[in-house]
Amino acid sequence: MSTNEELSHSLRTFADDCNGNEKLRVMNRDWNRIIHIHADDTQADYTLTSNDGTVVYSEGAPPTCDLRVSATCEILTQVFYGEVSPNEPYNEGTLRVDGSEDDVLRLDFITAMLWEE
Amino acid sequence: MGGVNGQQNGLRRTIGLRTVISTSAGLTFASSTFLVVVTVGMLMGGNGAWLPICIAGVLCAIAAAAFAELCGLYPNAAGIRVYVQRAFGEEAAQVVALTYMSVVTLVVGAEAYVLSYVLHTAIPQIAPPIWIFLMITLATAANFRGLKVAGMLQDIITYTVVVSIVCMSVAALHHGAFHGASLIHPGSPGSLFTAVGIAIFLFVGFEWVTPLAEEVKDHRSIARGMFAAVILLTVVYSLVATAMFATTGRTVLFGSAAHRVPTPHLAFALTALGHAGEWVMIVTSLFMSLTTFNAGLISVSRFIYASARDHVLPSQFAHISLKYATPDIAVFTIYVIALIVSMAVYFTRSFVTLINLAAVTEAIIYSFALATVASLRAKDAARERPYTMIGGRALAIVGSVLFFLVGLGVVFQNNPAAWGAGILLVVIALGWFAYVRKVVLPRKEQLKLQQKQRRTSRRPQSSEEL
Repeated sequence: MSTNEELSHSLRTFADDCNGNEKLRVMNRDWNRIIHIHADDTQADYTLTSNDGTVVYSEGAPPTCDLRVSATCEILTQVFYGEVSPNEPYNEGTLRVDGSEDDVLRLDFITAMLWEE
Repeated sequence: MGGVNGQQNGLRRTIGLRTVISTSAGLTFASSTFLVVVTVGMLMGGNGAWLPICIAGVLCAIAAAAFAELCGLYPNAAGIRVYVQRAFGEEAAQVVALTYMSVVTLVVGAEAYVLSYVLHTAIPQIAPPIWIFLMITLATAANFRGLKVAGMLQDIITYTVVVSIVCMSVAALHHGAFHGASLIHPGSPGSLFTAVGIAIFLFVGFEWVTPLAEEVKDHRSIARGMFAAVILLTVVYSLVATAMFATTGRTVLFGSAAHRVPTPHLAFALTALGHAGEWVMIVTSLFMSLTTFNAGLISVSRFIYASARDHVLPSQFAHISLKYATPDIAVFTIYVIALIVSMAVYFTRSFVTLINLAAVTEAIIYSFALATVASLRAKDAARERPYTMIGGRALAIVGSVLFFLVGLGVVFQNNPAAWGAGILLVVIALGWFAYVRKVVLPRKEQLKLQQKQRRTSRRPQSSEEL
């Protein structure tokens, strides 16, 4: 069972990995989005902000967002540590992503490039 | 969480009911639908095309209720693939999804054929094959750049098409020799049954709005939007069918079985409203095809990408363009396939077969959707359902059987374009069935395991590192 600290660390790691991946920085240079991460079971909120190809992590929920990713703390932690493909919980209905279809697809591109190339 | 039961609080870009309706109806409007209107009208006696269209509309409203329940149950962009998987397992889901997407690709070919003749009428100096090449290349370029008809642009296009068709139909009926009595001239029961099945084509794609479940302001908008779109489509097509057969000769609209008129809507507009009407119809037709090409090519290319990510298709199709952030190999593949299909349709003139194929496939997809609702009511009874379809399991089962029967009605006609469509569907479905069973399923678990092994967890070894 993951804790909020682990989820927070997984998100910081994810942001660092994104920023350390030159291909991703190029692809996301004009993808400026605010992503709200919400853990359903622990009610913890975090924000990832993608701006000019750089991803910034912060704690708490943003006032407004472009995408909202929600699941249990455990699933979110596994996804952001790269332990499981987000497609599995997404297709099982245990990971929910609210936002435009294109932005949801972009998140999938990011995880694919980060962990599956 | 937000979005399940009501407002999507905090999301900056959300879609309202107006855009849900325009997207649902807009994906359905296509230039090739006029061929179906004429086919349906020819099967009916007098001017009774409105009757099978209305019956098909009622059936599609039942299907809309099923999709509303399913997308509330599993709000997932993969749509029918996920629903069928939950109800009937992965093998059935993959075969259904792959067959459906193959048929959508073929329909894009039929649409390209019809629109090429529309544009050839506008600019006769350019031959239809060149128009086909130009249109598909342009649509692919937009797809490659990730440009999409959506939001306000979709609203403008759809509502312009509705206003244009309604105004032209009313004006034509006003000027023409319209006799109310001909509206209730009955066709034979067999013809009516077949006509209902073919009329399903007029609603093809209304359910493609379900991926918007993740971006609507109010989740109930999806259900309301689909119902409103089905009603809108029923009214628009009933009206234009009545106007076409009230003002324009059957031979002018239909041609002959061997040489169908590819652009009956232009023939109607010219006959009823003169050259001005014909030009209005050309622009309307262009609008209708724009959303069909855009939605068709984007959906199929993203489906190819998702299938590659899911180890169903070769992994090369999951390649992403860094410049445009689009699945470039999938986009290019669908471009080549669409061009080949369109040219094949042009040279064989087999567009009626493809339209019948789409009608029967859609009827079977709707049959699957309703069967899925019935199955999941038992299998996943405890899961929260923001929307439950009226009539419950009983209506879902009855609806599923009805759609299956009207689908069969389309292919069991005494003409090659009808049974040819049936054979084509069986070949496509069996081909994908063999592929999924012999190639995908045996290696999928192995590939997933390999992928998992390639992944390196970034989780620290001890909690002190957090």
